[in-house]
Amino acid sequence: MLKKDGAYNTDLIGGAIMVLSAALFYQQIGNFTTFGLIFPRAIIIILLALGIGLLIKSKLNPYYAEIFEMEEMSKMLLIAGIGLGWVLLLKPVGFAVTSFFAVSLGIYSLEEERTKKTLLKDFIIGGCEVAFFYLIFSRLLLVPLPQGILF
Amino acid sequence: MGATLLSSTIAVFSIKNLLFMLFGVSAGMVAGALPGLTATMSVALIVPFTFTMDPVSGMATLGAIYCGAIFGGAFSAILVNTPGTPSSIGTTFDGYPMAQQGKGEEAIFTATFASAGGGLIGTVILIFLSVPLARVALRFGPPEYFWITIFGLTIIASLASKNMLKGLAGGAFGLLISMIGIAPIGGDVRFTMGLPAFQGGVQLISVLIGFFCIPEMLRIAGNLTAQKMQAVNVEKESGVLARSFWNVFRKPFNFIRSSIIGAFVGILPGAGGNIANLVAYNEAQRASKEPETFGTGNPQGVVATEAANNATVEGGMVPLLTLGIPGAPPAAIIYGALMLQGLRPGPELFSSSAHITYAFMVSLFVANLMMFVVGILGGRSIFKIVTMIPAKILVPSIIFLTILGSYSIRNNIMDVIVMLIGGFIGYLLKELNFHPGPIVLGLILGPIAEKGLVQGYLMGLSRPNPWTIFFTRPISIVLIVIIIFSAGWPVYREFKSRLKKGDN
Amino acid sequence: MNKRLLSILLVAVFLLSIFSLNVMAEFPEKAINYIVCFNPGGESDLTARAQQKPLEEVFDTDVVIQYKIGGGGAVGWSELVQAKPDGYTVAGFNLPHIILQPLVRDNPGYDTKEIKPVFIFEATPNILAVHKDSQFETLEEFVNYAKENPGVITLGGSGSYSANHLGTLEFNQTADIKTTYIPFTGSGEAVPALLGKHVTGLMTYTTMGVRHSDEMRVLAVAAEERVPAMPDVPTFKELGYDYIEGAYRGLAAPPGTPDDVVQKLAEANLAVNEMPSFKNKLQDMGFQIINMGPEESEEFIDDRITYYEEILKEVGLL
Repeated sequence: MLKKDGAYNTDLIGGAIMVLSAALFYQQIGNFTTFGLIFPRAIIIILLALGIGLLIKSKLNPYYAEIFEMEEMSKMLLIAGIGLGWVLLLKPVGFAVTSFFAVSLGIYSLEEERTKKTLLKDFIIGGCEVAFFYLIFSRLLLVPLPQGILF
Repeated sequence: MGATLLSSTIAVFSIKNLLFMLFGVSAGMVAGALPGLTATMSVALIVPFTFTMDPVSGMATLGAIYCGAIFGGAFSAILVNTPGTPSSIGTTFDGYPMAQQGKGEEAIFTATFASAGGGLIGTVILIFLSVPLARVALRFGPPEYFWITIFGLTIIASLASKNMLKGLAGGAFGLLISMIGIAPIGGDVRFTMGLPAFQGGVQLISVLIGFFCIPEMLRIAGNLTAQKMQAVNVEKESGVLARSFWNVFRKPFNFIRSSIIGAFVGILPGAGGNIANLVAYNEAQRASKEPETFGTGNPQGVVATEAANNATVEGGMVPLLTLGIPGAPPAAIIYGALMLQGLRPGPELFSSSAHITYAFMVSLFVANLMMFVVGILGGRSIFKIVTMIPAKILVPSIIFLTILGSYSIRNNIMDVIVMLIGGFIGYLLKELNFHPGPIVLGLILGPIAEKGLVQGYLMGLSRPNPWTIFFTRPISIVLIVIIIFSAGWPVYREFKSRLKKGDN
Repeated sequence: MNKRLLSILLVAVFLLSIFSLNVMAEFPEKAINYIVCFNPGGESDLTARAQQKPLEEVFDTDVVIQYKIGGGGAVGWSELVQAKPDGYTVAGFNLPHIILQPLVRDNPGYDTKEIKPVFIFEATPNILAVHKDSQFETLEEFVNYAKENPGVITLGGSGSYSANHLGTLEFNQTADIKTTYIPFTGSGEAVPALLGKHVTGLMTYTTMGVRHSDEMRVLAVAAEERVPAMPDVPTFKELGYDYIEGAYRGLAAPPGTPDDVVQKLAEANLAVNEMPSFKNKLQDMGFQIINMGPEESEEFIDDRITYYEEILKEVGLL
C-alpha cells in the first residue's frame, strides 16, 4: 500500500526512485569503451537489485513514515519556489539584483505577519546583506559573479 | 636534526611570521565555515600573495590557512548542518543534533579542541615519522586503493544499521552519480545528459550543500515557531568550555585513534582527505560502549571527525615533503608554491633546504596551537551571532551563502543548479528515511573505486586471469581481512543484541 | 523620414566605432581573467602562476587566475568559446587535448577551430621513465624485453587521449612492441604508481622526470633535441626511433576576438618568455620554452589535427 493512516510507504517510493534512476542511467549508456563500461554496468545492476529489494520489502515489511510533516507547508513551498526561481534567473538577470529580490522576498515570506512595513524592512535587510557579500566577493576576492541584463 | 629543529623553531617565532599565521588561521577558519569555499580554494586564493614573502613566511601562511580552513568546516556543519568543507561531513552527524538540543556552543568548543589537538598529533607524526610512513604509503597501488574504497563502503553498514537496504541503495545511488563525467579509464563521456558542463562530473561541494543544507533550510522554513522555541533553549550554563575540553581529553583513546587514522589517510595520495573523518567516526562508534547514541548528539562523534580531519592536513604533507607527491589537493597547491619559490620537494628538502622544511613543520604545530585560541574566541562570537539571528532571516541568508559558495567553485551556474536540485532530491530522500551519509560516501568513493578497479585490472593483464591481482598482494590481503571484519561487525552486533532480547 | 533614419544610423555607427576604437587602443584597461582548466599544482597551473606577475608587469593591470576544472579541460574550453571576445577572458589551452577531445567525444562543448590560439609558450615532451632500481638501464634493454614479452610491460601516464596515451601508442608502433598503457588522473597520480613499483614504467612529461630525478631513471625523451634540464638523457630520435610527442601549452582567446587584441596578448607572452627569470625558472622545472605566435600556432594546430586523425585511424580508435 502506498499510504496507511496518512503515512507513506517509504520503501515503495524509495525503491521506485532507485529502480527508475538505474533505468535512466542504463538508457544513457552510449557507445562506451570496454573499460569505460565495466564500472557503470556493475553499479547499475547493483542499484537495480537493491531497488527491487526495496520494492519487495515494501510488500513484506514496509516502513511507513509521515513525509513532509510540518506546521506550515506553504512557507516551505514558498522558500523552495523562491530558491528555484532565484537559481534559474541568476544568469539571465544578474547576480546582485536577483539575490536582492530573492533574499528580501524570502525573509518576507517567512514573516509571521506580512505588512507593508515588514516588506520595507525586509528589503532593507536584504539589500544590505546582498550588497555586503557582493562587494566582498566581486571586489575583494575578484570572483566574477553572473552578470545578465542587470548586474 | 635536533639542531635544525631548534633553529627552525626560532625562525618561526618571528613577529612577522606569527602575525601571518594568525591571519592565516583566522582567514582559513572563515573560509572553511562558508559552505562552498573549500580548503583547496582558500589556499589557492592566497598563493599569489605569498610570492613576495620569503619561503618560510609564505609556507607558514599557506599551512595556517589550510589548517584553519579544515577546522572552519565544523562551524557550518554544527550550526546549519552543512559541511563547510567535505572533510567535515561526519561532524554534521552529531554536531548538528547537539546544536538542535541547545548544546551548540559545546559542540563548537569540542570541535575546536579536537581539531587543534588532532593537528598537533598529526604534526608530531609528520616531524618524526615522515620517512618510514612515506615508504609504506608507496606500497599502496591501484588494487589496494580499490579495497580501501570497499572498506569505506562498509562504513555504510554502521551509518545505516537500521535501514541496511536503504543505506546500501543510497551508497549505490551515490556511486551512480559519481560516474557522471569523463571515465577515468577510456576517456568516455558518460551520463552527461547532453550538457558539456557535466563533463567535469557532479561537483562534490554542490551535492554536499544540497543534500545537507537545503533539506534543513526547507524544514526550518516550514516549522518556524518550533524553531523559535529552540533558540531560547540555548544553554546558559557556564563551564561549557571545561566540559568541551574534557569531552576531548577524558577519553583519550578516541581522540588519539582518530588523529592517527586521519594522519594515515592523509598520507595516501590517492585517497584525498575527505574520507578520513568518516572512517574515524565509524571506528569511534565501533569502539564505543553506546554505539546507538552516535548520530543523536554524542560529542565523541564530533571529537572523532574533527581530530581526524585536521590530522589529515599534516598527513598530506608527509609524501609531499619526502617524495614530492602531495597527499591532498591543498598540499598540491602548496607544492606549486614551493616550486615557484625555487624549492624542490624531495630528499633535497631534508638536506640542503632542511631548515625551511622543519620551519614549515613547526609552523604547522604553532598554527594548531593558535587554533585553540582563535577557535574558542571565534567560535563563541560566531555562535552568538548565529543564534541571535531570527530564523526568518537566517534561512534565506544561508541559502544566499550556499548559492554564492557553489558558484565560486568554478564560476559555473550549473553547479548552483545542481546544488538546488540536489537539495530537493536530498530532502525527498531524507523524508523517505535515506541517510545522506551513504549517498555522499558513494559519491566520494566512486571515482577512486573505479580507478582502482580498472587500473588494477590493466596491471594484471599479463596474467592468465587478470582479476587475481586483487587477491595476491600482501597489503590487499590485509585489507580484505579488515573489510570482512568491518562488514561483519554490525551484523555480529545485531545478532548479539537479538540474542540478548531472546534470553529475556 | 528615411533621411532622418539614415543620419541617425550614421551617427550611431560613428559613435560606436569611436567607442570600440577607444577600447582597443587602450587594451587592457581592466583586469584580465586567465582561466586555468586543470588542477592547481599541475603543469598548466604552474605555468600560469609563473606568468601571472610578469604579465601583470607587462600589462600594468591585474591578471586574475580562475579555475574551471573538469573533463580534462573540456569544461573550461567549452566556456571559453562562449565568453565575450574582448580579450579580457583568456584561457590556457593544451595540445593535443583540444584536438583529440572534439575528435573522440560526441559533445565536448567546443570545436578545435573555435579556439583562437594566441601563443604557444611551452611544451613538456614525453619521457620514458623507469624506477631507479629497475632492470632496464637503457632504452635498448627495455625494447628488447618488450619484444620478448609482449603485453607484460605496463606504462602509466596522465589521461586518456592525451599526449602520454597517444605517445605510448606511437612508440608501440615505431618500436613494434606491445605495452599496456594505464591511464591515471594526472601525472601526480601516475608518479606514485611508478615509485611504488606498481607499473613497469611511465610515459610521462619532462617535468616529472626533473622533479623526481633521484627516484626515476629516464631512458629517453621524445623531443627533437635534448632537454637542457636533463642533459644526459638521449632523445628517441638519437636512439633510432622516430618518436616525438608531448604536451604543448599556450594561451587562447574566444572566437571572434579582434586581431589587434590578440596581437597585444601575443606580444605580452613573447615578452614574458624572454624574461630571463621566467625562462630559467621554467626550464629548470623541465619545461621547453616555445615561441609561436598566433599564425604559427594555428598552422601548427592544423598540422597536428591531420596527424592525429591519421594516427587514430591507424590504431583503430576512430
